[in-house]
Amino acid sequence: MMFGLLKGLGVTLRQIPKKNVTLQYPDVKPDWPDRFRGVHKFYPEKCIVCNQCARVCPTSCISLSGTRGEDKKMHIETYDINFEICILCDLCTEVCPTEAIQMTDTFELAEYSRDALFKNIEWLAENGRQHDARKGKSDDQANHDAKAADKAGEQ
Amino acid sequence: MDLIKGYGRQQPLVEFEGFTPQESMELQQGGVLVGALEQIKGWARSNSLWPLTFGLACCGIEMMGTGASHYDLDRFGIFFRATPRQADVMIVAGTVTKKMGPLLKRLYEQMPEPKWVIAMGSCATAGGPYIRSYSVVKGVDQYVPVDVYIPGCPPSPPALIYGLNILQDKIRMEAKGKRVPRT
Repeated sequence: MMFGLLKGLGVTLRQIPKKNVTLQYPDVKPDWPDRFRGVHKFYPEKCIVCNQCARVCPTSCISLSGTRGEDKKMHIETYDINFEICILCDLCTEVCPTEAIQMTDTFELAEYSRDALFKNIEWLAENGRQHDARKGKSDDQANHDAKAADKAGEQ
Repeated sequence: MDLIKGYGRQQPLVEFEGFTPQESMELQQGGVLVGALEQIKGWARSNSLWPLTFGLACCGIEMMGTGASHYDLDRFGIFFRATPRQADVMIVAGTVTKKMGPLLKRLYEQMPEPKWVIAMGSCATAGGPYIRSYSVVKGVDQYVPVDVYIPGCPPSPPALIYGLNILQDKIRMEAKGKRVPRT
C-alpha cells in the first residue's frame, strides 16, 4: 500500500523541474506555422476577376464583381467573403493564378453579431496590409514581385 | 469601472470611477472593489464562466484541447460542467442537426439565469459546410439567442479563447449599462 503511494508521489515530483507547457495566449501571441490557414488577405491590384475562387469555393462564400477598364484589363470592384460559412479550406488560394487572395495568420475574428462576419474588399485589403507589416514581405511574395518586374521590363 | 486595455488577463485590470489608473491598481492589489453592485457582479460573473460541455463534432475536440493544459481555460476561471444546472455559458461546438435542435433548446432552458451562448465554428454559426444540407440547422440562433459567434472550421484554441474573452468583455459592458448587439 505504501509503495503505491510513493509511486504516485514519484510521478508528481518528476514533473516539478519540467518546463510549463501552457501558452499564455492573450498576453503572448501564438507563433503559427507559415502555412497556417487563417483569415484571407486580398490584393485588389493583382486580381484579374477570373472568378475561379468563387467557383471552387465549396460553400460559395465568395462573391465578386469587376469591370473592364480603359486598358482592356479586368479590374475588381467588389470582393466579399462571408465568414459565417467560410471553412478556411485554402482552395481559393490554390486556384488563384495571380496570388491575389492569400491566407494569413489572423484568427481573432469572433463577433457579437452574424452580420459583422461578412467582410468586404476594404477589410480584406487592410488585413493584408497589417499582415505584411507584421511579417515583413514573405519570400514567395518577393519572388512574385521580381517576376512581375521582369515581365514589365520585357514588354 | 473601465477596463484598461486587454481583456482576458488572468487578473483583469479595472479602472474604478473617480480614481486614477494608479489608484485603481493599488485598490485592486489590495483586494478592494469600488463600484455599483451590478458592476461588481458583472466582474465576478465574467471571471467565473462555467461552460456546459456540449461538443457535437470536430469543434468539440478543439474545445477539449482548449480546456487541457496546453491552452488551459482554468486560467480565466472557466471550468467545464457536465450538467446544465451548474452552467452559465453554453459553447455550442459543432454541427447542430434538426434532430438535436429541440434537445439544445431544452438544455438551454435548464440552465439557470444569467446565461450566455457561444456559437463555435461555422456549423453552429450558419451551417458551415452543410449550408445546403436538408438536415442541419442553419445557425443555432434559430433556437437560442447567441452572444458570440466564432468563425473557423474548427476555430483554433486561441480563437476560442479570444471568443470567450470578448464574451467576458460583453458581460462587463452590459453590467455598465452599455447595450451590446445581440441577434
